[in-house]
Amino acid sequence: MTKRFQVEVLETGVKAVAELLEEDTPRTCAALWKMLGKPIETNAVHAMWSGREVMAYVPEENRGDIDPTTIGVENATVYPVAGDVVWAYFPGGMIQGFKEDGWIWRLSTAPRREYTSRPDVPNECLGQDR
Amino acid sequence: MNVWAKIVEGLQGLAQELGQIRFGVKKTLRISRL
Repeated sequence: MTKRFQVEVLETGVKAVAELLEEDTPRTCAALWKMLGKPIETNAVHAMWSGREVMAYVPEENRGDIDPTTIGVENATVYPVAGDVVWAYFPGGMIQGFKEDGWIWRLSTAPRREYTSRPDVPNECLGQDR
Repeated sequence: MNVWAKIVEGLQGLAQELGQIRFGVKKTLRISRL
């Protein structure tokens, strides 16, 4: 049975449900499912440069003994489409403004229309993402 | 960035909520297994 998790906005009670892509990303799913052994509660932060994504930093208490450097690249993209839940890790100092390690979930909630010449058509229909 | 999950329910509502962050509205997420 496909594993699922829920994203709830605590201020309003709005909820969404996501399904894991275990066939495409077995290592990522194993590590991130482990992180969810205890529910994650964190502030949502809007991505600064990348469009319509919201970032959720994984708190220390959810990291456990996971070594993010062993997850590697699986089903990778730099252009998430609406509905994608993305994992990103980067060591502290790698990106300007981030002194500490970044353990980030990104929720992509809308098509990236800025990359299309047809703003009325979602990118995934044009095959421009991935 | 690894795409490891897909939102299958409630995407529109979530987009509506999270779009408000750009205008300084604080949003706290609780992510939990089902």
